[in-house]
Amino acid sequence: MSNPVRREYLGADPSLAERSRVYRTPEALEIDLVSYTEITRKRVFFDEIVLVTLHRARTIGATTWIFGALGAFTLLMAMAVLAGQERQVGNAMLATALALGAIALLASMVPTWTVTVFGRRTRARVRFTLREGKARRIYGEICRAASEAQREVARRIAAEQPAPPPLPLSPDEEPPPMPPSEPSGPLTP
Amino acid sequence: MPVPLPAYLGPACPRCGVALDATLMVAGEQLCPACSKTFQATPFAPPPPRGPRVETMAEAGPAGAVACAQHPGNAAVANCTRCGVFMCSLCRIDIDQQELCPACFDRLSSEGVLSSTRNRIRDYRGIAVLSGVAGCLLWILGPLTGLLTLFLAYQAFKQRRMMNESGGMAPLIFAVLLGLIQITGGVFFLWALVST
Repeated sequence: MSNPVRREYLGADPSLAERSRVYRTPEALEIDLVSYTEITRKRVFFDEIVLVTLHRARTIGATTWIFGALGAFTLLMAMAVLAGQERQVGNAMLATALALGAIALLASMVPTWTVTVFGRRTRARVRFTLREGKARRIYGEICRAASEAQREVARRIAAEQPAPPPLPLSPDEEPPPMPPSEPSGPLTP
Repeated sequence: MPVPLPAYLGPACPRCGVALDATLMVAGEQLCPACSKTFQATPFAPPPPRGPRVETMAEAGPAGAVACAQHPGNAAVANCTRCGVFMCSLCRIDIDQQELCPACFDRLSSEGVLSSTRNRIRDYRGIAVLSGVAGCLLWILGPLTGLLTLFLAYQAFKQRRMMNESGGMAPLIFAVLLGLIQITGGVFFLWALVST
């Protein structure tokens, strides 16, 4: 088994449709797309990065959906109980539903900082909830790594280029014409 | 059957997904023409991909260069780390600190030995967390599901060490805690059941 390179966990991009975790290696960002019990890995190489962006947004993530759904379910249950005789239980359930709804509302208002890295063939995205400093640090680190990797590739390409042919000399620098050679006659003994 | 993801079409607005031309951008604050929202961006101009430069043979034999095993006209530049065959720049594959010929690369890659070429891996961390959460719904089976969660968490720790990862420990610690709680709760539940 070959020795794997070091992978540093940067963050995740959780959503209802898919979950992905992003790691950093010395030469690329690795995106682990989680589907059921398996991970599919993709890479954005630093020397292929085209654009890195950072923006702030409020996203309706998994937390909002889960707490919202639980709140709605509890609310329905509370209404059913309140329609019967159990007033105290119904009130308690109503309070729980309101608390769950408030959590869902708060979760949807929390700002999220997103770093998106566009490569030639794929892209990576990492979300940071309430951690602007970390998002900016990761953004800067990725930009620096991409810049260094692309400069290194450009330097290697330049080193491999064949040397250009010598330029033609100007008339001032041209060497003087050779003296005409004397006609060679037959050798006499 | 998995639903195919939309094809990647290059740089786009990170907010609305409308395609953008990164070559026209300058680093700094950007305004998306489609959604009129701002984002910070740093564009790059990556060098074009290139193929290897192949050295051709001038003369074969002990005095000259050694020929590639696959391309007799090309000069060999390396030996395969695994089988030792001579390879030219076209055949040489640099991967995981090894220089491999195409045949050995195919073989090792299909056996899953080369870590760089593996792109489908079992997610033990996710399974451990799932087992921990699902086990909480089955208290009577707590000792069993707890042990299963701990075993899966151990596998996830091993996988993490094998992949040389750092960070991202929180879900694993959560799974271990859930496993321990399940075992304790399950044992207590069974003890209470037996004692009554």
